[in-house]
Amino acid sequence: MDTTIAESGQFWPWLIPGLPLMGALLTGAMHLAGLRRPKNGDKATSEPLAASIAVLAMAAAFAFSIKGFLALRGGEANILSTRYDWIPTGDFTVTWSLMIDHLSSLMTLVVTGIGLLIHIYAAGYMKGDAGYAKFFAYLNLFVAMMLMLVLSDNMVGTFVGWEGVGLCSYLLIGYWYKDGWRAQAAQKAFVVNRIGDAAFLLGMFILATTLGSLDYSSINSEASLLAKPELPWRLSLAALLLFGGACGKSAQIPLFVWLPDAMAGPTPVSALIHAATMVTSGVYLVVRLNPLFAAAPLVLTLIGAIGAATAFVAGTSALRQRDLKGVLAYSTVSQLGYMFLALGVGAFSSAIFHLVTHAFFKALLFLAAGSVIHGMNKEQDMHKMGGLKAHMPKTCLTFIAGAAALSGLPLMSGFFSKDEILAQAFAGGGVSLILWAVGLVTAAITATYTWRMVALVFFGKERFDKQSVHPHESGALMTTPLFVLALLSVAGGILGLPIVFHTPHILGEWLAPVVEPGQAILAAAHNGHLSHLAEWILLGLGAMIALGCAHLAFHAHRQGTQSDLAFETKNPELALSLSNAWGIDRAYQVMLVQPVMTAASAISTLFDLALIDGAVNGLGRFAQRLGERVSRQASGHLGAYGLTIGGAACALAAIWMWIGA
Amino acid sequence: MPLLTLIVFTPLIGAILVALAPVREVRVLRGVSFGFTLLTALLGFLVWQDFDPNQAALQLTESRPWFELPGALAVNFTLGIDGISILLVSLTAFLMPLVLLSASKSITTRIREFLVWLLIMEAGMLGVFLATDIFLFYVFWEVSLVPLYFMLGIWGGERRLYATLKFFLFTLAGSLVMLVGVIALVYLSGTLDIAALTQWAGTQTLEVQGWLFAAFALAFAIKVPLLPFHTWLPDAHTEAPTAGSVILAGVLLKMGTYGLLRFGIAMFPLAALEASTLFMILGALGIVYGAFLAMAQTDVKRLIACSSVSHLGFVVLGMFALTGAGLRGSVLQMVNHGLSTGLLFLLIGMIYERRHSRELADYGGIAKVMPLFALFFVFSVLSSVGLPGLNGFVGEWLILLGAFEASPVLTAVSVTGVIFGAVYLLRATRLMLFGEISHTENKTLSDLTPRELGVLTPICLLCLVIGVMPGPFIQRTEASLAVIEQRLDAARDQQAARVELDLPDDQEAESAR
Repeated sequence: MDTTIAESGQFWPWLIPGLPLMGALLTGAMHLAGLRRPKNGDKATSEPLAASIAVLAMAAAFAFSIKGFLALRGGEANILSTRYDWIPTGDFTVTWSLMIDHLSSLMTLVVTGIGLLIHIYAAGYMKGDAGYAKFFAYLNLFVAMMLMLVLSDNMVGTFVGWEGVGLCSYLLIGYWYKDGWRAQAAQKAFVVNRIGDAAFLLGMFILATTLGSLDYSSINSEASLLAKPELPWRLSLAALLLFGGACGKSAQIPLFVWLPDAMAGPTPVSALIHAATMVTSGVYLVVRLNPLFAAAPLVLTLIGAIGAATAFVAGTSALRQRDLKGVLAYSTVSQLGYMFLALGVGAFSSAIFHLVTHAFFKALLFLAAGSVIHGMNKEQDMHKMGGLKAHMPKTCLTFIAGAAALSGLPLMSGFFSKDEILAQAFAGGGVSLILWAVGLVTAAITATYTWRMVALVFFGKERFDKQSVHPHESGALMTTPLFVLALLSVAGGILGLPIVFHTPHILGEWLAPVVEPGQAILAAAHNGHLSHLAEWILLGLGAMIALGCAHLAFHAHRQGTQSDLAFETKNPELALSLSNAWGIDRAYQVMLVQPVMTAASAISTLFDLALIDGAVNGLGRFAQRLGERVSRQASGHLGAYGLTIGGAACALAAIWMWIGA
Repeated sequence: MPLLTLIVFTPLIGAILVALAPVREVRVLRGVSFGFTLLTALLGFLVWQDFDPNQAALQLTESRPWFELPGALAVNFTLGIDGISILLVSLTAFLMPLVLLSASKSITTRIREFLVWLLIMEAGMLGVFLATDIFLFYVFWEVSLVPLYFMLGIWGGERRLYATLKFFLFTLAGSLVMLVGVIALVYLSGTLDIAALTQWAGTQTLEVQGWLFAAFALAFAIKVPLLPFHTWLPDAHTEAPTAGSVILAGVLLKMGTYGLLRFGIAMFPLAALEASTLFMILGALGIVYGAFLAMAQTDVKRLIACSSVSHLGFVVLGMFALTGAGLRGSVLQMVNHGLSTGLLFLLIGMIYERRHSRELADYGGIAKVMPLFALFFVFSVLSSVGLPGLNGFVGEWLILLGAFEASPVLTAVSVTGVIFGAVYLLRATRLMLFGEISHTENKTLSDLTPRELGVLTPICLLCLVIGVMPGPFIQRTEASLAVIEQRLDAARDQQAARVELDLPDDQEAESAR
């Protein structure tokens, strides 16, 4: 990796996470000040102010991200921030320090750029909400934490952001906390993420004790050195544990169960946190540590397998969702699976490419879905929609752009990024061919559920109650970001055109310095290059599958709900288990959560209260009884006293003699 | 200026004044007591400032002859402070005014007595951390326990008599075992000065160290409390008035971990090395066990009490890892636990004053009517579960990293505490704060008052400071802990040498046969 270090750190990189943090503090203070005011306070004046603070903070962070990007593009070395001591651990000191390199620069652009659009959208979406300023405080705080995650030059700093985004996710999923189920979903998200975080911690401990540092630069250089057949198993274990952390944050099997529930949060949150940014941090982590993972081929294979399995399971589940956001949620899990599939075959920059295009089109789809839900008076059931094309043309148009990208219709951004992953898997040969096949099937599934969704929502008959629901287009504040994102979703593919187009792969070249060390390690193991013909065939295959499935699904569901209902009556059990992600969540409840809770109450009542405390109380009672017995001896009968004294004297004499002997 | 004598006697003078003052006006009494704790806090700040982080030995020492024991053993009134005690002294001085301020509504009967006990307790606790004469230490140790006995018994909850008796008997048992240890130690070494004792003890054989260590460790283990001596704690915590719970969690339990460090590890390094695995296992077990207990509770105060068992497991785990990071982390975590659990108990006390219930089922949805309460509660929970950026993380990080060097397996077991901690605390948060308001009584609850905000805010700020910038806190402990590490290293060498010596001996013996 290009780790030329600038002589001294600069302060301005701190502004990238710092400004949104300031925004969070300001809007948070506004919210608290609002609490002190009487109920009928002038909310209307504070809403634009809160929104402008938050949006400005984002815009400024975006501007500094561009500054970093331009500096790197100008050929500057990695930009290091000023360092501040954090935790002196004795052997080494954990510092607060940031690094802008090619990877983190790209991530900051995505986070702040898309974040800015979502903030603008949210300013319209959340209008009239009682906690308007609080919402923006959380949202800004989230962005600050996400930026900390991607910018930190050491793992502990990343962990701050890692847990920080988890916290914000918790706060935002449970934003409408008055609904108990939302609060429950928030709690579930936090706890499941914590399982991953615990693994992350252990992974860090292994690295810290083995390598003596948690700076990315030294881990990556050490890992390359250790990339030999006699690789210490400790590093593989560390990679495995860190992948466990990634599974939590990026919602992969077995820890994906929190993400579908996370849709309880307001829709801009789903777009920003649970689609575009936070959930991709696991992918970021693996790419960031690519030499470490490349040096652990078994773990890498596992990552690919988990990714493929997740893509498939979540994809099939998306097929049978009735909730609009539910489809998108499972679709997100599935697409993240693609990214991990890419990581598994060592296609690190392809994973990031898909991360970027996915951020475009999934943010778009969520925001457009939010616009639908907004216009439909909070209705999310697609069976109660239909024919909305006429009522919200702008939303419909942009949604279709996003759908086209997601389903990988030819020349859309998702087409190129997905195809690149599949091509890489195919080129890998061997086990990777299985991954490729699963990926291809999932591509068909993706096109199917995407166009089922489009048909159910925007086409066919209007199935909603026209008395109570009056669908309407959203305001400009909400639709403008949709158009920007639609443009990116459609055209984002130019970032990474296939080799056969004979154009430079912009993203691949940009990321080359970051992923080269890992690639170098992997190149020794396998190198598969596709001929141009094979690549053309794969492209054609992908295009045909996407178009065919999209066509079929669209026409099957254009008529309305009949097709869904027919499937449900024919295979009721299959439909149910598919819609619940194959019952995995239910299985966790029965096999994990309930046993733990039962064990807790058993330990508390049986072991702690009855056994340990029982022994304590028993000892107390025993002493009391003994005391009573003894006190009964003080009866006043001289004869009894004499007997006792005599007996005791004899006993003592006996003992004395025995010891003496 | 005899700073340390002043800081110990200021609350004591306050106690005498309040006890004898010919005024009946409660406000005056409260004001005077508050003034004295505030003065103590100020002195604590001066101690913090004057403390030289680079000096490993005791500093700011003072010594006055007191009396003579038979055998010409001089008992001195000697005070001193080092890296092991600086954080706890400062914590005590910092917390007490806030505790007093928090109790101004909840305690309505026999207020004068309450204030007196509180001040005596402060003097006792400061004395425990500052005493450098083992006799004086023991006196302060006992002095600090008596007030809690009365606070529990007089101002406690419904089952206060049971809890008081239990607390008293457990404590008494511990104290007696320690007394035996103290007598044996003094008898064998012929000195009462803790520094001299430490020097002496380091030169003793494993057998001598082992027995003395056992006596002290048992006494402190009860105090911490370590599994399986923990059952007095949930009862005492639950029945104690808020001020009592906060002091108990904040400072009193730390007397146990402090003792383990100063009289266990620092004094008897050979024995500590032998016992390290046992104590790490007990710590790890305590973490998981306490968490499981907490998950099963329906009484929120009891839940926090059980969480203390879990969190103190971390402190013991890190301490007995006997590594640099582990020791640092455990000393810092003593403070962190005091702050975050103290915060939680304060908050529970505030809601109890309004609603007179500790049952989780009696709450639900109160974030709507008490948004500030909700904010502080969530903050405290996050501090307690070790969210990076807040205090708890720094301690947990160091402890787990240090423990990992010593035993990866036990660390892996302990890390589950990070998950379970989130489970029980977030469950409590959800049941109390979120959802619909299901009880009509809760609809009219009033949010935190300025006084309550004044109690909570300084603690929260300190949590944030330690979380982001723990350097000044850790640095103050480093020099003294380095000395302990050196003693441990020397003991390790000794241990290794002994093993080498032992082996040929055994072989010779066998070949002779």
